[in-house]
Amino acid sequence: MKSFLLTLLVFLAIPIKTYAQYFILPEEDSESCRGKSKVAKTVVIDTAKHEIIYLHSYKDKNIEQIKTDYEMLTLGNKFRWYGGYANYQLDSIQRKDPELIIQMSGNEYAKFRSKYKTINDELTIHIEDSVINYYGKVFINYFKYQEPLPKFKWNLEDESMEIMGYECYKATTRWRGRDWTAWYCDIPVSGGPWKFNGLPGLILRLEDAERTHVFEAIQTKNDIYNFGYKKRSHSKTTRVKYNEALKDYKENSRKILQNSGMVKYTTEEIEKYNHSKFFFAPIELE
Amino acid sequence: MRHALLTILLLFIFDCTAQIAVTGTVYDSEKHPAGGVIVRLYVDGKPKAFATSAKDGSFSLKTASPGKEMYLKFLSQNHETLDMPLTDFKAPVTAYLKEKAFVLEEVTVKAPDRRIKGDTIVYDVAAMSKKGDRSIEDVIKRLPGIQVDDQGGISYDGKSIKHFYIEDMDLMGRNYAVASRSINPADISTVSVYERHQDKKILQGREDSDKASLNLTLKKGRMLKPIGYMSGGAGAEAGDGLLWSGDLYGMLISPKNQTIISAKGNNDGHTFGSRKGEDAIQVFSPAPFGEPSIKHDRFVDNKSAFASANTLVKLNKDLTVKINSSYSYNNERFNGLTVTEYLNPDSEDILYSESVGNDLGYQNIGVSANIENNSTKFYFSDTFDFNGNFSRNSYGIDASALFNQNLKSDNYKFSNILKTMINSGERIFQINSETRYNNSPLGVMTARNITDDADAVSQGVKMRSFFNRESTALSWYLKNDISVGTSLSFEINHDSFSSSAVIPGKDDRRNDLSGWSIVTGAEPFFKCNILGVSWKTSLPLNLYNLRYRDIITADVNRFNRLLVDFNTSFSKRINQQNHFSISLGRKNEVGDIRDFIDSPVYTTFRNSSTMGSGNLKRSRNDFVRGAYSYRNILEGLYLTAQMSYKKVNYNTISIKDVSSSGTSSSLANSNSNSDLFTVIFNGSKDIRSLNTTFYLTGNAIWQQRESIRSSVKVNTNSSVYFVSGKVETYQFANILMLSANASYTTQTQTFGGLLPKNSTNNLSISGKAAVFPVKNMEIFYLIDSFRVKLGENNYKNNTFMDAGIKYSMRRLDLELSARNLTDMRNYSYTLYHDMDITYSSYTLRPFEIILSAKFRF
Repeated sequence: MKSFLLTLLVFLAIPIKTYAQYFILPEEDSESCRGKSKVAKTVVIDTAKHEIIYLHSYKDKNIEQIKTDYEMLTLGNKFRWYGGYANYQLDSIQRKDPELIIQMSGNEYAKFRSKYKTINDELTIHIEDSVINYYGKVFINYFKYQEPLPKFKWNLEDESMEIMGYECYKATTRWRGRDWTAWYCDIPVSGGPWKFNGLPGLILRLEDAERTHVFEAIQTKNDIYNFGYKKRSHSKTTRVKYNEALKDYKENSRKILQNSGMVKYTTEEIEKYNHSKFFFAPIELE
Repeated sequence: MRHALLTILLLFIFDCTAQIAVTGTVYDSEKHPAGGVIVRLYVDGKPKAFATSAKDGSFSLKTASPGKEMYLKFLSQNHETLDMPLTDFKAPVTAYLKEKAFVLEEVTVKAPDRRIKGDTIVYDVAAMSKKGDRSIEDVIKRLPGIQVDDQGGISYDGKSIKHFYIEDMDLMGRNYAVASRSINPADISTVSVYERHQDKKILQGREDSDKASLNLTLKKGRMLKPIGYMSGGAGAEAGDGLLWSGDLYGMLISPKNQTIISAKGNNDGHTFGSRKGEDAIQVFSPAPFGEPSIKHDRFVDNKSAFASANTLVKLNKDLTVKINSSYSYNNERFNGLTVTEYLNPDSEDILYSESVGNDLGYQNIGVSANIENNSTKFYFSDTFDFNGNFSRNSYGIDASALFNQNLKSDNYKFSNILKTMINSGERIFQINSETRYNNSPLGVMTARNITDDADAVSQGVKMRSFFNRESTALSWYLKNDISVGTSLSFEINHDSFSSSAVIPGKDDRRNDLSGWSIVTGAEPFFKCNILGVSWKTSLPLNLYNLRYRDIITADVNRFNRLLVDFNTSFSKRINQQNHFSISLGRKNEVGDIRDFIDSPVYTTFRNSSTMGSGNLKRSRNDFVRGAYSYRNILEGLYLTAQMSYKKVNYNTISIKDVSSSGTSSSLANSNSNSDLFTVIFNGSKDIRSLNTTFYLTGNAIWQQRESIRSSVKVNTNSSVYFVSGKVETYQFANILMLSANASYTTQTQTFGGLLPKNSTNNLSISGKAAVFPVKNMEIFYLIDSFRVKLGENNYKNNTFMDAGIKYSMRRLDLELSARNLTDMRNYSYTLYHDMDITYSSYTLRPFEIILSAKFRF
């Protein structure tokens, strides 16, 4: 019953636009063609001390496409954060000059915003409680779920290599449907990209056996700032349900768009688009 | 008692191999428990186990592999790192850590420059390109491991690339230089090198290739609209010559269609296409009196035009159709003077000189169509190709008398290549078919003695060749990376050759042959992977059935024999940086119709060649080859070294006779041997902090072979050493670019004591300096200097200097360039070829100045 209600909630939520608290741009904006532009606020949870930037390459073998994103791991006293590097860059601009974005017209903001390839998903890790809070988006709806920090069964190997000037050691594991190889260094943080953790040092490189996902550390920083997650109307769900909803959306996007009432397709278009899929390369297969 | 002692002994042994457990507590310097500390156990220098201390500072870890040297490492964000030797792992460990705030060094790896994704290295073009780059080829030349030759041919790791892709589609095939020399680097996002590229999806994960491919990815916004340029130039050269050039290049790339068109014309020395047709037997050389080994645009007066149209359509994710066509026209004129000293072991040396004006006119037409289905279950490709080459050459020779020589030859070639592979679970089944028809209807070389007003020689040659090869292969992919299989092939060749040389006052020299050869082959193979070493062995078996008939003498030559070859190779890759390979084998080669061309064919008015000895040529080639490559892409260090030895045993020996009236080369039936030992080395290193790249190339070749000169058998030993170093640096915020290249070659030949040894050494230095004083402006200067040996203690420097200024506006580039600033009119050098020494001097293009404008769209 519960899962039925939750699924119903997901699909009913599709046509409803959700907004939370935003900065409001001036109404009298003759140059704007989209009306008011909005930027989400951040819920501060900790103060950052160090940041590690990763280059994440991932591929969808079915449609033979590769994408790359710059992602960032932020280390605080009690929390860690993982999300898009461009998200951090936008937040930095806002922190340094809060008036800059507010004064932009819709057109100006659209042009400014297009330079930053942000990522919808982010997660926070409460170190002491060993809990992950994950924030994601399916279509136009925001969701969040909580799970215990996964316990990885790492096998330490003898190989080592140099990454970013650090000597790194190899470790392997199988986790949620993929075989992973990690290279960890002497930085005393038992963490790494995304949800990966549990090694006796920071992971600087991580990839699965088929190289569907490759994370490489490319930069370390010592920026001190308040960090957190974006305040949006997140619907609570579970990890499994969220992953299923995301998979369904990526594989049946046209159907979902049609059902949302936002787009009307002709019969010929439905037939043509039935075979097209969005790019989809999940990290977790289970 | 004995049993008890044995039990204790066994327990002791058992105890030594059991897990060891290490426990302990971590405190800070104030003796407060330190929680959250990472504790690692190292055994013989490798981390074997780890734990994190609890809130009370306690930790516990186990390992099943104790060793001689063990120690614990304590890591914490709030404390200094501590290494503690572990001598007694049974006793609990107590560690005290000093407080220290963790400092994370700020490090940036400029990863956008290059990234490794498995076997793919992705180079960011914006990071790799430099000011002054004219086309994407200038960026590609800078990639580690890449060499680009003067015709635009790209090699990686010493081997020519398999494919040149644009957005993962191979539109241009072998003619990719049309694209690589025209595409603007600003339109390209990344260049990817697909190492060991397996282009057939059906074989991916099963067979690697030893060749790489390149792929260009366009920037966003460059697809779905035409991009390219139009340019035009006009100028003058010292004397009364006017210069002109025009160029049009357009490219339209979309996910399902690619089209490239190109049209060029000029008289500034840049020629297009090939001077030669695609005959299997090349009788007439387009430059039979020689030409210098410098770029054509230094010494050739020309009128040239080129046009090409290419399109590829992707019908679905696996199926593509492609059509390519090209046409080129060239008229080239150049003059040279040569003096040749023919060394003779048992008689007087002969000195001969001639001055030649070469006037070459040739046209090429090429059309090909290809359909390809490349899926994981089924691979199919069919390519139909037509090539036509039409030459009309004329030579004016001033030697012992004045001669005029003309050559007219046409060549048509049709070919169809079909490849099919079917995946049936663990088996892959292949069928291939290749058919070629090559026709050279009457090619005629005529020479007339103008001084005596008499014909010197008239040589006609007609050739036709039909070739068909059918092959099939079956492979089984077994467990543990083992595969076995075999290929079967059937090849039939039908050739005909006829020639007729009419020399006044002498008997006509005629050849008239036809015949066929059938080769039936089987090649079983075995492949496996043992301890990370990949091993492949094959045993090619070929049954030869040849029959050639001399129509003039009615002689029939037959050859029927089974020959067995052998190949084996080992290769190993250690992480992503080191790759070793070694291969060895034996290959038998059998001649063809050329071996029965036993009457001379005149190639010039005074030189003739007898291609065959009257008997089928056979050789046995034994070889061993080793290669090593090291690359550290992130460090920018790339090294490759190859060593090979080849021993060939022939049943014929080459003969050259020289006299004052001419030279003749032929073959005789006699065993001869050749040994060739080669060492090649390439290295490059980026020092990014200095914005500088160093390149070093070297090779050494030792060769020994036997030949006959004027009835005397001579054993020639040659050794050639070549080393080349290059430095390219960008300084002062990329305002100044300097590039310097120095190459040194030394060559020595000895002739078994029958003739004095000859040796030569040449040094060439080239440099480029470019200054970018303001944005969009480039002032450049180039120098090429060749120090060549003319004789004993007699050297000459041939130095070319060019300069220019280029200014770029948004879409328009204006360039004023001056070439051959010193107006050097002559290029001289000495060439040692076998036992002959040739002194040459060629007329150069004079000082030129050209203004060109290029509009990019």
